[in-house]
Amino acid sequence: MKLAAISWKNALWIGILLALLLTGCSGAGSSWPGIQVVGDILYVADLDHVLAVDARSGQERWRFPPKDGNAGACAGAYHAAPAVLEGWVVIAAENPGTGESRLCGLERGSGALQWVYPPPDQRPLGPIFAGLIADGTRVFVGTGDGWVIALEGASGQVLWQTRLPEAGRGAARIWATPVLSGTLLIVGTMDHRLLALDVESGALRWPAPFQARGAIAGALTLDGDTLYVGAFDDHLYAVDPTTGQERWRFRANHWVWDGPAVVGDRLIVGDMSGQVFALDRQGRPLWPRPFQANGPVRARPLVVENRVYVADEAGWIHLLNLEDGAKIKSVNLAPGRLLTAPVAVADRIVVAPTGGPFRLVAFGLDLTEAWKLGR
Amino acid sequence: MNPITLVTNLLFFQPLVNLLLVLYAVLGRNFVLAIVALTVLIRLLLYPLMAQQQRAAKRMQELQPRLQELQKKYAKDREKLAQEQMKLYKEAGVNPLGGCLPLLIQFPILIAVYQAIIHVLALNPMSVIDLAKLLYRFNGFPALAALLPIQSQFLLWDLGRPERIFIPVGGILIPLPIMTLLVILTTWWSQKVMTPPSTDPQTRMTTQLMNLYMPLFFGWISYNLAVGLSIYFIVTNLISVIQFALITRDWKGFLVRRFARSEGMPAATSSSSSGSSPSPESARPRRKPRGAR
Repeated sequence: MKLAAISWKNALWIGILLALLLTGCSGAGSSWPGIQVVGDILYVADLDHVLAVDARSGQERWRFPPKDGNAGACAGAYHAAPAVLEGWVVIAAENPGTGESRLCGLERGSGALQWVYPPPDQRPLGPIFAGLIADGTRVFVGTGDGWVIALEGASGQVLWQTRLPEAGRGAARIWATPVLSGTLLIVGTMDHRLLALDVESGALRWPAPFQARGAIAGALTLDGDTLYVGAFDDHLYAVDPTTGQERWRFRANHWVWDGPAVVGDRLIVGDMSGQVFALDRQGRPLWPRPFQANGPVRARPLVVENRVYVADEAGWIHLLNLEDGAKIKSVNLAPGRLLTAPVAVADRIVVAPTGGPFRLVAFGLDLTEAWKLGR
Repeated sequence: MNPITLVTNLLFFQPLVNLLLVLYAVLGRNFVLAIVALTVLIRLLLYPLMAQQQRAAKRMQELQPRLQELQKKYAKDREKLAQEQMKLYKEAGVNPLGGCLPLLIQFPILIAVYQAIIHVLALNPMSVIDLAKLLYRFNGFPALAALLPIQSQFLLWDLGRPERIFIPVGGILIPLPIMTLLVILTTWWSQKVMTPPSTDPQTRMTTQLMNLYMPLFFGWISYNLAVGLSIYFIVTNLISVIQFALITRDWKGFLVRRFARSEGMPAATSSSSSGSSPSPESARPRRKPRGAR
């Protein structure tokens, strides 16, 4: 019966392996890096740090937590794009174990921690994946448990907070970066809705929410008097931001995550099958055929002059001709996955890969490499 | 994506994710019921393997008195004892390692079920990126995507997160891990019911350690991972016990007998004296197993 003793040892090893596999599988980052650009500075929330980086040189200005410092209640993982105000950068810090988050105000020039909301002795907020947005002195944030909060950027003092209707039981999660439209703050929810809140009070404004047939998870695009919204029902919707009424919809080939890039009379939008479409402002396709990327296109494409930059999940960045969608050049950054929208700053196209050895990679407008910032 | 991951996803993980979502839709958008139904379906698929394991366990139990006799007889000759034990196993058609394969098969299934639960719950953007590639599309339409997000709240728990329930006692927050305790209890119970008793002191000690270690181990996993997995563990344990009772036809008071037997197990003697354990005669295989000479 020595066999039983051996199998006990084997069972122990199998158990340890199982535990590692299960916990390992759940311990990866929960989202991709978030970027905000102000002037020539990139503010990047990337997993273990928030960094301010000079876009021209790729030099790091500061990082939070600092190399020799303690982040206190703001320790954790960082995903949501920071909000940048005059003198302040507001970030969301996630506790990777519980998914709960706190908002932290950093001094813009140095990255020094100034305030935390909620304070350490209070219960944290739900998970925050949506980018933070700023309006002068205020910051607006949507949480994964259905709260929309407005704060004073300098102090972290709460101006108002609203729990969306039907929040809880997994509904009304906010992952989509909200958008400001006049006196309205428009938020998209994972339970297929768009809602408008009064910027001053947080009160709901539209008579009824706009209802898609799939989750609204990505950044909303506001251009003039039209709001563009991608959804997991394969559609891009054009919505009147004052009433929440649908104007038209375009059927893509798969989920549409981020809203489109808008340039002149064109909208450029990608879907999760990797197709990229150019549409006119009535939702009619303009290119002879959609461009097919090498992986799902989660992020909003970027348009600079007559060039389109498309980042795909397989780690490719493609340079296309705006007129016909013809490919000019592609560069692969695998094993990094490109899930964050590329940004244009200081004659550079900058991408923030998820995974891989680099936090940031900057290219010239023709996709020649300019600089890389390692992890 | 590497080819192994691709094949595993295509053949196993992807069907599991879609099945879980279909069950969620069919069962009134109740994710707990969907996990229970998925667990039952998996157990039905594994039934032939599990039945084989449990029959082997039952036969091992039945051989205990005879093994004990052999131990007494060859107490001073371990080589001869091993030979005679192997002869007895062969005669009874029992493979002492027969229970290992079904056990090993369960581990990848456990990992896949956990991953399926976490992906379907769509708790964070990264898991949804993967989910987008896994969902079947019907006639080009993303029917299953319309089910997202899953209602993850079940009574006190968020199924996609570790349970962190605290009760204030005198100003101090005390954790109340109800699901974890249920996992520990049901794992201990199923272990207790299904582990064959042994006459060998070393094996007995190993079994006792396992009966302590496994429930605590699964409890530790449950406390640290999503509550949805705890539900899978609890349902699996309960089904295992019921299945064991069905296979061994040991329904009537089998619990009482099992506990009495295992408690007295330094002991197989004390339980057999109570009349609840099979006698040496009745312990012999009732029919000659296939393949046995």
